Amino acid sequence: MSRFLGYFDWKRTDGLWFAVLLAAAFALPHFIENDYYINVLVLVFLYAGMASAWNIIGGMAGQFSLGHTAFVGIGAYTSTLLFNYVGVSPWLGMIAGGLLSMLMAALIAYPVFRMRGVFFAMATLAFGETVRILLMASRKYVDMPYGLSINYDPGFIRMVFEDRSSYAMLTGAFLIIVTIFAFGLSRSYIGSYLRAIRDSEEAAVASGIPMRKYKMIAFLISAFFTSIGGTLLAQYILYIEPSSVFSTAISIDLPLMALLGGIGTIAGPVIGAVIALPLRDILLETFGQSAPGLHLVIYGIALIVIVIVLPHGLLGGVKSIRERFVSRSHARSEREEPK
Amino acid sequence: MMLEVTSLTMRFGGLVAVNDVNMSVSRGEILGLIGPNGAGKTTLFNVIAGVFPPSAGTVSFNGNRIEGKSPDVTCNLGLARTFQIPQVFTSMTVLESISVGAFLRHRNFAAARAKATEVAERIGLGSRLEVPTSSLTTAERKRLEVARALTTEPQMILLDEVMAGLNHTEVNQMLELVSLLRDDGMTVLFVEHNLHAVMKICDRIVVLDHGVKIADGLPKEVMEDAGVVTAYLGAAVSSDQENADA
Ligand SMILES: Nc1ncnc2c1ncn2[C@@H]1O[C@H](COP(=O)(O)OP(=O)(O)OP(=O)(O)O)[C@@H](O)[C@H]1O
Ligand SMILES: [Mg+2]
Repeated sequence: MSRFLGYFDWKRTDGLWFAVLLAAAFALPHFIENDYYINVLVLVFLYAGMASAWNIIGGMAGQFSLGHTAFVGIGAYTSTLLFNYVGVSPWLGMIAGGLLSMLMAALIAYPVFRMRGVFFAMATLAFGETVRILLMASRKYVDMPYGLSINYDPGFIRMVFEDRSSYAMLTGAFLIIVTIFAFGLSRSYIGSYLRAIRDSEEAAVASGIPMRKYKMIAFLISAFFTSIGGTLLAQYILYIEPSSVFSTAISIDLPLMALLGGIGTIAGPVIGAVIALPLRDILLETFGQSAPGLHLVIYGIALIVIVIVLPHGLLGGVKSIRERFVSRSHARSEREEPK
Repeated sequence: MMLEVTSLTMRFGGLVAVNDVNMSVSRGEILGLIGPNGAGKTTLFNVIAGVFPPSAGTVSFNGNRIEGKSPDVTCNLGLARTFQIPQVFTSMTVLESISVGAFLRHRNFAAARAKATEVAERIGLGSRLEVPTSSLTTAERKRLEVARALTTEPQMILLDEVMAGLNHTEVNQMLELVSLLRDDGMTVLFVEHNLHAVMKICDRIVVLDHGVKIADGLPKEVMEDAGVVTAYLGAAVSSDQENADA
């Protein structure tokens, strides 16, 4: 055990952050009574978890995927099809979907990892679209309705719950597991390797890092957890269709949340989800009726402004303000010292 | 022989950057590789390190054929290199970037940090461990390159113009560093435009011109070679004069 722990760079404050997250994930669902807020909480937990999963490949490793909806959709479809047609519990279906997503990720890794930057983003975007189109086309050969409903029949084994707070606990647990995983990765040599690849592929390879292998590791882990999020989404909404779970909007939302909070950091995607989802909801409440569609315009403008003002996300903004204060007080103490 | 290069040719389209070069470096030797701009020195490094597979010819390291193997594989075999234009990990501190090299042999975090700190102190970056790499000076970036390469614990290191852009004091510090490496028994292949440095430290010198090896021998012999004088020293002397005039 201590040998295992030796692979990580622990800091004293880590336990504190973990306690905060744990408290938030398990206490909040009990305190919040209002159905509307609980719904927001479930979505925040779920999207924060998926954005954190995206962040492993997109932020830590710097491979800006725009195709993650493929994994969300594969997760949602695998568990739902297995449950509806074969009667397999979504708890198992979720793992099956995760593994299938990893397989897909491994298959496309070879062509897409040959590309860098924008080309990688475009290739993954095309991949996400392709999976949806293939699914729609497959209905010509397989007898499958356009949308799939999951029977509302509450039960733990069926992963269907009566009250939303149970869903909040479920998605909260998902967020915690993804966060612990991402955190462990980032504090081990693997996280260091991923950042090295992001910063300079040439120098990373010259330092003895087998680049493809580590990009692949990050991609597989990311795909697996994103896919789990897809199953949870399906179990919460109890209805899926190609355009809802295979949607470019999801592919864009996940990186957007990471960018908002602080891309490549552990807390960033969580903070991003905490801001983005309620913001969109509030705007919808305010303008939804008087001027339909306006809320999306304002949402878009707000995001653009935030990204321009804070290029490294909210965390980066806080950090640079703190650094400014620290260097100012340093300068002051240096000026005062010679007396 | 530690490194053996035979009939190595590297073409980029119609351009022959390295033309049928034979060269060897024995264990513990410090070999200087010189030549005018565009002579093919960096390209030769890139082929040896595995960035490009050669168009023709072979490279052996410790008796194993390595041409066409990727840079991470050659690094793992004990052949490390620096970049002429420092490639820094911009989001990291000095200690973090040096640790990246150390993880190759030490997956345990504390062990890797200890190795990185030890190398940083030897390289003269000991007081800069927590500084972000983006705020380093040119001289420090060059040293960071060397440190990152050294933490992979190589048997041989390829240094590409680690003294370019440094002032007189910094050049002397870098020279001291290379002699320290020699004392450790490290084999060094280094490209340098600073001829004083080359003359001072190298056991042997190879001269490239337009991709062709035109001389190979003791520093003194090479400097007196008529071909070298016209191809390279002529250019260097005139550029020295330009520098003096400036
Ligand atoms: N990746 C590449 N693709 C195409 N041409 C290249 C490439 N790398 C180098 N060259 C060309 O090969 C020739 C040799 O370049 P190289 O960088 O090896 O020279 P050098 O001896 O290192 O020069 P310098 O002293 O300026 O660093 C040059 O004409 C250069 O333009
Ligand atoms: Mg060069």
